[in-house]
Amino acid sequence: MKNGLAGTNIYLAMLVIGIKDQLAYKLDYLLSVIFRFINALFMILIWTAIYLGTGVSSIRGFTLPDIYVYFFIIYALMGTTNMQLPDVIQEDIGEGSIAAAYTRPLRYPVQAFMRGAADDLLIIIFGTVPLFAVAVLISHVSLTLGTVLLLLTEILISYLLVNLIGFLIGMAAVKLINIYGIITITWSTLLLLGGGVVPLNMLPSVVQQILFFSPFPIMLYIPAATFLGTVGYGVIMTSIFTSIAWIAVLAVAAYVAWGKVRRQITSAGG
Amino acid sequence: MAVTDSIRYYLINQLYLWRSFMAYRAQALLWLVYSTFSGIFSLITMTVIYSVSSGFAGWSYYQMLILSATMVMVINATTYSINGWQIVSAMRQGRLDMHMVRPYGLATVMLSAQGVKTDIAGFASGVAIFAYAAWELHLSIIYMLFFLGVAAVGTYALLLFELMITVLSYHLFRSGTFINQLVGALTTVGSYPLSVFGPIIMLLFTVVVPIGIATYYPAEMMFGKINVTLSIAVVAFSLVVAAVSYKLFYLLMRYYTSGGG
Repeated sequence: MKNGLAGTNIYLAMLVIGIKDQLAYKLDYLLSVIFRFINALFMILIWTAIYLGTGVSSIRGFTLPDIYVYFFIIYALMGTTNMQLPDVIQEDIGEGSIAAAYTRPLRYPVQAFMRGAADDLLIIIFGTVPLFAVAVLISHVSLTLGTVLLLLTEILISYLLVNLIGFLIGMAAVKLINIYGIITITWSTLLLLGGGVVPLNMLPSVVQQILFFSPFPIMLYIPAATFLGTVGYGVIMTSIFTSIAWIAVLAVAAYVAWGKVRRQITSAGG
Repeated sequence: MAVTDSIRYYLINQLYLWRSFMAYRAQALLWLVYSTFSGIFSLITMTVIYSVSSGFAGWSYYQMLILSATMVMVINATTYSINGWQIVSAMRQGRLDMHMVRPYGLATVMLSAQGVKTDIAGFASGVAIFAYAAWELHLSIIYMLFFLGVAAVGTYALLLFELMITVLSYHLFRSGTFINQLVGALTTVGSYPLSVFGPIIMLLFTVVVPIGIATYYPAEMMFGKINVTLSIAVVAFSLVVAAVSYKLFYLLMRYYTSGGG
């Protein structure tokens, strides 16, 4: 196992290879970025119709301009909650390339993470950053240093959570081989329970109370609400601490599970 | 080649695809469960929207359920036979070449070879929501049959359109990401009244990308929001879209070269 600077360079090389892989079809990639903007615009038009149809200036504390900003931020954050890790692990196990990965003097979970991170990085650069910029421009919000730090903390926490969940799901591929179903279910659940379809404060209060103890709100809703200032510090801090607790639980689960699962990995040919 | 032979070929392929899919049973079950999410999500979304607002002007909660359930049925019906991403990937790797030398039409071959089988569960979830909303609205069977007929013609047109766009996507990008993203956008747009997107997008998703003819206009027809003349025009336009898409598909396939050149 490579340690120190040499090891880091090899992992970074894997990240670079992953980026080159992703950009192999450049026009296609550009279109997928454009579709992110288009989908955000669709959500905005839908909610505009709802506000105009209802004839109110605010629904559950969100004005129409707030909703515009909310969905730009939600679509920006979808770049940081991309969840590529289980796809990478499944591909390695399904195609048997995990055998080749094991021959490298690198830790497999970190290898897999770096390959997934290549996609994440590109989406953050081409999707998250521009959409966030649009949100800042249209919101006329002057972000304080405190809010920016809080946002970065929330985004970092959500990125860790998503990857830990992704790693645990990815390990299921050792037994199930094909885990696309689980990956898709997880992503859809995250989208709905994270506030990607409707802001969570529009759900019944009982559902909200339960959700705030889950790892989902920090992934989309809490950062968007933090940016807009529509949620109190109490809720934000509760959500951050709850999420940190989830990170601890999931990290331990991932460590223990990997310790057991890695002995059961077989490649094509046994 | 007789139509019955093509249908037989399609059904044999379906049997093979279903058996392949069921090879991973746990996975198959999860996929089937997931597929119902499309219906459940649309139900939750509409319920939340109508619980905090009056919703969309001129559309009641149950009417919106009908529209979004129709969208769920239409999208699942098309992706059951066409998975753009899979088809482009298969074309790129030359995996469809063997199928193409068989004595069947290219459209039959491509509609038979791929597709998301689990979407049958998604379709069923759409049917369940549709039935629930129709029951609450006390819709007559005649109206529903008329609606389903018009929606079926629109879905057929959309299916051929997607097939044509998939081949175009292969020629332009050599990747299926575009078609996947397009289907995602269609799902969003088709779940809501086209009028909420403004005249330009409404026209775009009626004429250029014909999702409206399969979802929005049949629903408008059923709820008496458009007259008989316009209803007939929608059906006629659907048939034109189907014919043009079919012709364009064959035109594009003339320039097809697989991974091996």
